[in-house]
Amino acid sequence: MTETETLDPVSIEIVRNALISAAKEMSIVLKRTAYNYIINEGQDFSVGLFNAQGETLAQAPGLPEFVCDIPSAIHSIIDDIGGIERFQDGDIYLTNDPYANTFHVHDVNAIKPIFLNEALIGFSCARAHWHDLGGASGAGSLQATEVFQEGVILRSVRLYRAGELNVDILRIIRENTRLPDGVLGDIRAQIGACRIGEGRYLEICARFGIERFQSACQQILLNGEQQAREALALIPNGTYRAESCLDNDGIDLDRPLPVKVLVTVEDERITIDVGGSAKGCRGPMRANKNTTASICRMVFKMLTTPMEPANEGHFRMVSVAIPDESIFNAKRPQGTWPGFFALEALIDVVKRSLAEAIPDRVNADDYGKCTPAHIKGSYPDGSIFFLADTEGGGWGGKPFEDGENAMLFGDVRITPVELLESKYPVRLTQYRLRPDSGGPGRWRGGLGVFKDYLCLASGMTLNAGLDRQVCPPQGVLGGHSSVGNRIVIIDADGAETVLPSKVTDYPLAPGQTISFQTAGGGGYGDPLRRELDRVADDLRLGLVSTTQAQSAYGVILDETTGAVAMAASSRLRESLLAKQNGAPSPSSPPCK
Amino acid sequence: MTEQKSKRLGIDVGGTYTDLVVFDESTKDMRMAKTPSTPGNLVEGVINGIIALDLDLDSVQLVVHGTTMGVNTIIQGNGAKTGLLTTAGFEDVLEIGTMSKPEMYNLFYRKPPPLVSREHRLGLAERMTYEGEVLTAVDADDVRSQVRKLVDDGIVSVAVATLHAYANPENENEIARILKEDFPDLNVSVSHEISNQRREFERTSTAVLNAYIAPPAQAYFEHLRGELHARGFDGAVFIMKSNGGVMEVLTASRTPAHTLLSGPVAGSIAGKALSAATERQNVITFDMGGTSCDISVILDGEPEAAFESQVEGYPIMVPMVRINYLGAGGGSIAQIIGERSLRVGPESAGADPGPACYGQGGDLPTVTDANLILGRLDPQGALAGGIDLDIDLAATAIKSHVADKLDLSVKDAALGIVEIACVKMAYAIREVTIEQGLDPREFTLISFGGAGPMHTPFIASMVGIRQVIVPWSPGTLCGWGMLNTDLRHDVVQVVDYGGRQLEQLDLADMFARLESQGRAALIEQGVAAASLITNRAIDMRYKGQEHTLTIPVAEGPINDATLTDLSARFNQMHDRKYAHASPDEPVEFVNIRVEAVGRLDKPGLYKPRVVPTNGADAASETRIVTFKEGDLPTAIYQRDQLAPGTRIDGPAIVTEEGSTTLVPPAFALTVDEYGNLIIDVPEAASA
Repeated sequence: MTETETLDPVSIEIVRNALISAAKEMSIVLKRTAYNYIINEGQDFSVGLFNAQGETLAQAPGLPEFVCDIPSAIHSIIDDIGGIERFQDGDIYLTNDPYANTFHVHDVNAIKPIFLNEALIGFSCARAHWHDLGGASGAGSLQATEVFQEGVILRSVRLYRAGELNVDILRIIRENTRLPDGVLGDIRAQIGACRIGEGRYLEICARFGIERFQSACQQILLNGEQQAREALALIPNGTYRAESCLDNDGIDLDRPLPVKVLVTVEDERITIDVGGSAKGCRGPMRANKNTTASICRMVFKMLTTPMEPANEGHFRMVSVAIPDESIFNAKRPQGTWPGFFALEALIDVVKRSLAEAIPDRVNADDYGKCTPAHIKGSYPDGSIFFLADTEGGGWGGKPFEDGENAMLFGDVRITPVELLESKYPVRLTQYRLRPDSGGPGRWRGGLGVFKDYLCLASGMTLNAGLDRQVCPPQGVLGGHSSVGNRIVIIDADGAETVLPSKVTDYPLAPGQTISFQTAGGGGYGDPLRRELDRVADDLRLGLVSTTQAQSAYGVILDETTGAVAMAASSRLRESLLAKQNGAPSPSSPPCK
Repeated sequence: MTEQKSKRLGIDVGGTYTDLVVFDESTKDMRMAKTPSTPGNLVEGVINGIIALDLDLDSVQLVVHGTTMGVNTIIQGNGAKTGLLTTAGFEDVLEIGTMSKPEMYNLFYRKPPPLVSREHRLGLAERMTYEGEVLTAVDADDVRSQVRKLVDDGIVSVAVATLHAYANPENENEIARILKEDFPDLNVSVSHEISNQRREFERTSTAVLNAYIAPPAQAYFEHLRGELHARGFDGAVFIMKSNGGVMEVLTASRTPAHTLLSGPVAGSIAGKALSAATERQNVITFDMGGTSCDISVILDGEPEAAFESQVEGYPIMVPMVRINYLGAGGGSIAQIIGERSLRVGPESAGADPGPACYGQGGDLPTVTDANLILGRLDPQGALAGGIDLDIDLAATAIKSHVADKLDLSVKDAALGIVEIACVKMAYAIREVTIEQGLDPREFTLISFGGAGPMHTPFIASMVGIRQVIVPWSPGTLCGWGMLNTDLRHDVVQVVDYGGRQLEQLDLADMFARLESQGRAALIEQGVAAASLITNRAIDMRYKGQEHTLTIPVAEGPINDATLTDLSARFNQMHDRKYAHASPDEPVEFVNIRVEAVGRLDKPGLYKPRVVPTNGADAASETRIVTFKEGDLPTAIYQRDQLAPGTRIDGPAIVTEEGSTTLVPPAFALTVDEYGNLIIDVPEAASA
């Protein structure tokens, strides 16, 4: 097809809808048939369709971090096998290389090249989090010093060769996971999803003819690019900076790791430079550079084309600068399991750097976005279980309203209490909002939660990572920081132990309670400017304590009724604001 | 049944119109009336319809009523002041929800705000285990003091939803008993009575929805009953349920949550009745209006079931007919995104301002504007409600917002807009057929709603459906559907808790218990035991999976053969739906289900009263209509002039009050003996 024969806009839109619909169908198949809770309830997966160059054509709702990253998985397989011509019709590859294309070894891509008349025309991919892949600690160590302690790397492994299953691979996997039945069930679900995606992709090609289809895909990406460019034009040229830090690397507990960005907007280009961030650490707190780049692309999308189903066009104007020596450039054999904490901090830092430039497009820092915990143990019959819990928290205050309470990051769901209790030897003793956890602001940050598990069996252990304890989510434009994440172990006699922000195989005794306490979101704007009525509502609903109302919001309470004394409070706030002389009120200091 | 009580009345109160259908058993005569709905006092619209029908209520034997009252209450946020009593420590479950953020890139996503404010969600010191063991019994004083706080704060309706009530309802029952004794004026909704399934958030949400709408629902139902009785009616009033059955009005007053999705479900039930009457086993109902379409699948004569859905973002976990919803209708707006990307919907111009051609101030082009430009809607005509259509406004909107930006003619742009709308709807149909392992070629599409019959021929062609039926009086089909229902009560029991192995005997026992519960519920509503049947089903999965498939269980004893057969059918369905099965993996049972059905007599299909005579010569005029094939002279027919047996080749248009049927070139239409329009779809046609 020649340049002049561009496809009509109607056909382009039809192809676009068809691809999105196909991706959605893949996601339904994966979710409905997977075995482990992280996939079928937690929906910790992503599926999508890609063109022959490995560019994203369509993705289904799931975890946004993942899909931006699948193209790097396709490219690394191509590199590993020695070129695109090595693919055969009927192949299905697995890959989980944490130095090229995943957060950590537990995220496994299933990738199926799609052929038409012996020509490679695209890829159908399903990535999902497997429960266990061996390693030093079930479900993944948070303190590994080498990847070998985290699990088996399946790098560009051909599970199906020209349609024929390579059972040797399944045997290797089966013998290297603590939960073989679940993992093999999940592989079947991923393969089912890839096959559905392939089938739909071929149907669309058949309908339009491959040349018209490919032309439509090019135009879809161009349209996406145009949309993103229009939104980028709203960010003034300039350089923008922000920083945060991670609590620690899991090993050197007293050493926070800085995450810094320098964002440069120059006409039709945005460059995100992570060079100021920590160069290295002993623990596994790091991510590979491809995944880092895809996270930067994702946050750019959040700020520019948030409501559009993603395609490659939305990312074409983003450059990412990553130094050779960086926690954002993981190298073999370093550990990477909890490296997503660094990536999540990066999202907040990029957002925050642009708060003054585009105040109506950013919210304050979110709770930390992923707080993975695995409570592990065994049933009376000796078989083992992993209870996976990824808790939500408060989201940052928005430019026009308060942040959301208790929300996860993406189309991901928590596991109901009634399911948890019927499946594992635990009893929940509370699951509720965590008062005062939202960062004070003109628009308050959302609240995190308390979720308390009473352990009922002996021999249980805990792997958990709740970063943002030391350096809590920050506010923007005068908003204050929130209360950070933490895990507290409460003994039967009430004695409390606050755990460090990452633990691996922490021993639990029956009668002990694990209290997950997730962070709130940062505040947006100066809390002294929050309407008194809203503060009064927060007090009445128990979202804010009288202490916080007085200290952060400058509110005076009537001594007899306890209600907000409107006139007196207004006067106090005016004098406080005058003292600040235009500067925002002092927040709790960020980590130093 | 006496001679003078020979009529049945179906009343469908929708957001815009109130439709009444009255069927006379003795004469087989059917009449319809359509009157504007009367927000604020919905009963008034019903009475207006009765007056319009000139109906003597003394001759009516029973009334079946479907209403959007509950949904409207939720949308408008004017439900009862509601409180929640729950297990202490879990007061925020309603607000925490699933924690999901479906719009994954949207930093400003907003969760649906809880219907009960935090200050009115109070905890009780009580606790049940997942095995149904009472860990902490209810303390009556604790209950009273908590409820006292709610009552003092003006709460009139209370949901009771405690952990694991599905496993043992003892604590919830005890709380309800105390409330009834000590606070008799409070309206009480108990979670396990409405939704006896595991998942605390969804069950609590269902109980809260019920509590929120129960007081206005009771007032409304009482008002309706009073007005009907005042006009001489002394028969039974049945209310349409989301599961496709009906319940007696007093039961509906207690459990209005079961009515929340009854509006679209009536369309599905009408499709079921029509499919039975015209001997089609597999149909898809397609109801397209101004802002959305509702789609349902009837497979082997039965509507597909679902067990969870959402109303305005609030989960509701009750058995229901599966309705797929798509935000595409006549009012869907067309716009250019980016450089050359033409989008249609999901934004809608709604009824106000409506499409540009309505001349009510809307200047954005819609699907209706495109149809007007293409000559598919009559440029001289008016829509129901007397809205005149202005073709110049439509042309201006399409030209400035679409055509000029794409260097297309206005007509080509209009063709594109309609095609994209049709493609989206075609994908919605694919979702319920191909993606579920069903072959669309084995289905007939039943098309109704104001905008349906103009688009369905194209949509059918895109997905490979070979035949479209436009039923007689598509505008009041739902009302007719309501006369084709049965009383139905569903019961469910979670069976996999406790992790214990289910014995065959247990299973038979549990089914027997549920069957007697279901029967009792219907007998209480006046059904004779003899006219009762029960159907059994079981939710299954591979051991280790979470999600289940529901497999029907035939009558008769449960033995090894039954279980083997169940496993085989589960494997089959898993393979069909998900493209893989693992027959060697163990399966497990999760829930058992029983539906109790009290059969009501059905009116049967109406045959047109006046047999028209003109047949295919009845074209009243010819108009130029634009198709992909070009501008073609197209015969226009009045529907009431088409006699059974008439055959018309496309291009043609059939008009009637409230709907327009389009027969594209190469499509052919015949009129069946009941006056239904049957459109045969040629292979490989397109919009």
